[in-house]
Amino acid sequence: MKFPKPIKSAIFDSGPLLLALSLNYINKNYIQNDDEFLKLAYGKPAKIPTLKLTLEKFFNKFNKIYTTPHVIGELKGLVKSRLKLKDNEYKFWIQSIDYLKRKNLSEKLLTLVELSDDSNYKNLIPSIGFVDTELIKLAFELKPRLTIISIDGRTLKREANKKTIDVFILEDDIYSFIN
Amino acid sequence: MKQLSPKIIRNWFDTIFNPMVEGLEIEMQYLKEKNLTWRSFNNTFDMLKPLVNFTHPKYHANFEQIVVFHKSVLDTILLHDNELKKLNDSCYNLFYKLMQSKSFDKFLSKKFENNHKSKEVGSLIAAESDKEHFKRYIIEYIINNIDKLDSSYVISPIWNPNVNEFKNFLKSDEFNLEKKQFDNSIKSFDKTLNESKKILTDVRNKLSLEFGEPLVILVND
Repeated sequence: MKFPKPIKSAIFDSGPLLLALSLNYINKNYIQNDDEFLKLAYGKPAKIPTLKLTLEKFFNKFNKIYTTPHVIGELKGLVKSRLKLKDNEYKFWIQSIDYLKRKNLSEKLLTLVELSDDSNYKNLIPSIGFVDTELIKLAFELKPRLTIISIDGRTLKREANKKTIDVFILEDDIYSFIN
Repeated sequence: MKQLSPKIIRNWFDTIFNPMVEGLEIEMQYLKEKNLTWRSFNNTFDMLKPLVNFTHPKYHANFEQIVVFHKSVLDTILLHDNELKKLNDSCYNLFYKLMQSKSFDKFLSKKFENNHKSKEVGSLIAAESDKEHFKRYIIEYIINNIDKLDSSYVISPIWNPNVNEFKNFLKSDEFNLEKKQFDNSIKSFDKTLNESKKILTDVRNKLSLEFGEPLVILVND
């Protein structure tokens, strides 16, 4: 089943962003136990076999990454809690910023007030959370509208689809993308 | 020497047989509602999957062991996945035909114009690219036999007043070939689902009785 239209730019949720940065860190620092490191980043048992190779192929296809400052904020917490890099955290961030620049990172800010003033989105905030609501609105406002990349955000997907926004679930869709 | 034990059978049930039978039941339910859950952006189905995808990859070694003993299981999976691929192809062909169709485009433009007066639709269709974006979703809804949508769907002001007209558009001669292929693929996949379930449950029942292992274990909630 072929992917009809290659995605080169997308909106990244914090999970896939952490994976992309962890892969970059592994490659830059020749981390030996790469699979274990990626599993930490993944945060739960990965449903993707040959994880490193598969993710590498996937992330290499993107030449522009969109996200929000709030996702970057979430990312900071995830790096600390999942990767437990301690003294190497500084190096991780320096290398990550460099990677994100190469991927033409674009951060778009939507505030809580803006979201709650929009009748199409204000009811979503309590049910799926502020950050996911923000991602959906961002995807809808950008032209052309972009796909959101998430690891397993099935609730996000359901709500985004209602707004005609596609969500790429890494666990489910990755093979159709890279094959 | 090949020797099976109740412990092996228990693991086969829990990791492979039961998830696959449950997967088939999910697919049957969606097909009964004629909601294929087909998505154009990744050219695949949300809820219909290659059978092994209903199981966790970390247990796939168990699957490889099963097919050594029961080739009928492998044949069933291959048949299911092949029919799923045909169904996917027929969805894509119908989608592509509608996307390219000038008459559908004209029909849709008229619907957009008629509804443009409403504030909701007017704010949605601000540019030509918006029309193209929503067109893709409308075609998906036609393929997936979606009924009226609740107001949380942004496209509901366009879809709901015209749902029957959208669906009936496929009756036009222009789509004869693709529609026929589409209907046949659904029928064929439906038949395959029933056959696959019968084969998997027959093998599972036989193993259960032979090794004294229950099909499912009682779990106290």
